[in-house]
Amino acid sequence: MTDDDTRAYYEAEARLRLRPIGRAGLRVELRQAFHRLLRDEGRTSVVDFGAGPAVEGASFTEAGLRYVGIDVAVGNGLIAAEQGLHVVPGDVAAPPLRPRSFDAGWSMSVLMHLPAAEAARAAAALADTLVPGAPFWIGLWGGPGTLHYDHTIEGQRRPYHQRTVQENSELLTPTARVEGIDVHETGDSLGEYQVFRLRSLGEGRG
Amino acid sequence: MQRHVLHEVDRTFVGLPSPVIGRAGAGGHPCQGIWHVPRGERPAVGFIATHYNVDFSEHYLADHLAARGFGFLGWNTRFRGNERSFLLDHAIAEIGEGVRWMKEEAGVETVVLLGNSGGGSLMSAYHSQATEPNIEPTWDLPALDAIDQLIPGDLFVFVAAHPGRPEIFANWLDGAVVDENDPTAIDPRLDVYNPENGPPFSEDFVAEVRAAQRDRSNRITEWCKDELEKLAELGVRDRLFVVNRVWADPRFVDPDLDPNRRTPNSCYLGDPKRANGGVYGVGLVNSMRTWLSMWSLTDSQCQAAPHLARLEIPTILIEADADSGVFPSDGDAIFDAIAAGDKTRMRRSGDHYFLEPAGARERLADAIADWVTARVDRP
Repeated sequence: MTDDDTRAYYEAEARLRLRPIGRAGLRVELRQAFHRLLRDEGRTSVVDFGAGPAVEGASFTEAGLRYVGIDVAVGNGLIAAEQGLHVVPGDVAAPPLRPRSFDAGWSMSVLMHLPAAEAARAAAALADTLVPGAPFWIGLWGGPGTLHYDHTIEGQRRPYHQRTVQENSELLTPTARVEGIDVHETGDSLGEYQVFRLRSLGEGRG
Repeated sequence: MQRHVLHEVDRTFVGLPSPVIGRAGAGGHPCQGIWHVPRGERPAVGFIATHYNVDFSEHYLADHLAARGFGFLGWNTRFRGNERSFLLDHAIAEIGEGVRWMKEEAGVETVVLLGNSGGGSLMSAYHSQATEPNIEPTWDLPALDAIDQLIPGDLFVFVAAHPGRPEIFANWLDGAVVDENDPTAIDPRLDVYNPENGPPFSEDFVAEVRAAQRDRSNRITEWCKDELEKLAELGVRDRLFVVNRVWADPRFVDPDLDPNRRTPNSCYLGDPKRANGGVYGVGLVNSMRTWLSMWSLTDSQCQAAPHLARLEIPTILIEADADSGVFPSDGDAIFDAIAAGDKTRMRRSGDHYFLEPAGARERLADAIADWVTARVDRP
């Protein structure tokens, strides 16, 4: 389960309304590429694990997709609702979602906040919510196997479990077919940004 | 922060006779390279990297991988710097000497074939021949016994790898050339450097250029065959010829074609228009047999797909996201054709040589080391 520090961090972030909407840069490029993939495959719904206040939700709904997010902070669900977007409070490792109810998945900058076993559980849970053969992309900060804490919000902390590509591959491989791994060196002190382009197991489109 | 223990590196020159031509009269070994190892160690896992003609003895990954505990043989065949005489079966025989040396002399138990840049298709051709002999001699040359008993690789790492030589050259050739003997004779309608054509280039224009490039390549092939027959009648074995204007892939000019993060209007030599009018590059001078062996779309066995279909060992394909000569569709073609069940595709920040961003080579070596270690340490 998501630890108490992390849960408290995101509730504080929601209370303070700190989460920005990315309008440029790598995240936007990734989103656009993902949208193209979904369009090409005729996908109609997407689940966003660790959605925050649905900062990317509008881009999916504007593309005509049914969008549901899940986030550990109740406050983020309230902010999302103000925009008419649906973010369910819940833990990404044990989401309150029916299996096989979406045909695409998206989780950006979430799983590095979880230790390895929990991250693997969350990835498996995400895959379970998808129909077989569905694309899902997981992005996370990675690096040489260190753990550090972000104290950006005074009095709060959230962990960063930086794992290597190989370590993250081993967490994700049991739940998905890995179609590609992108490793972006951003020059950021957080290390490298790893994007795993995955597909749920089983027979299906794609 | 560094996650691998870094060793000092020892380097040893390795020179071996060619199984085809022996040792040079002046004493030089046709097959040469440098064996890099962690100081004082005899690693059980060793990489070997060879290119068609580029000197790989001091390959940029050699020190980095040796520092991370691996052996690395940067290996040259006798065609290093001698592209014009290249013959695939001969090169494969000489790569085989390097692999054999690693196994029999250096104590390597696990051989990792490293296919970098053009070396990707060469090393996959080596492995393909080692697992299921299929390489035929060029034109009228005799078959080589030396390629019948090659040692296959155990793991395969592609780094910024091109598809096969014929495919890449056909994509780079200037399709506007109308007279092979005159580098100024071009059809402006097909000139990628004619501003009236773009960029951006239309789909129709690109299709016309691609067709013209393939036609040009095939014309050269047919000319080579005719010429070889004529020469044979006159008692002449072969001859050299020049191929002008070889830097004209529309993708060099238009960054929206097969997009990645490359610098627009660039190739490996910088300004592609300038390169296209110059005398540096691949495939500029060839013997007839070399054209047929290396570049021909119809006759060369340097095409990638048939060899990749025999590549069943664990394989990783690493691409550079700002590569100005290997494009995303090239990666698609390579990855899709690899037969291995255990295959990984990774795209990393960097130019073709991973000179940028700073530290990219070290982190590339980390990623390769992690991938290999995960497959060597476990059953």
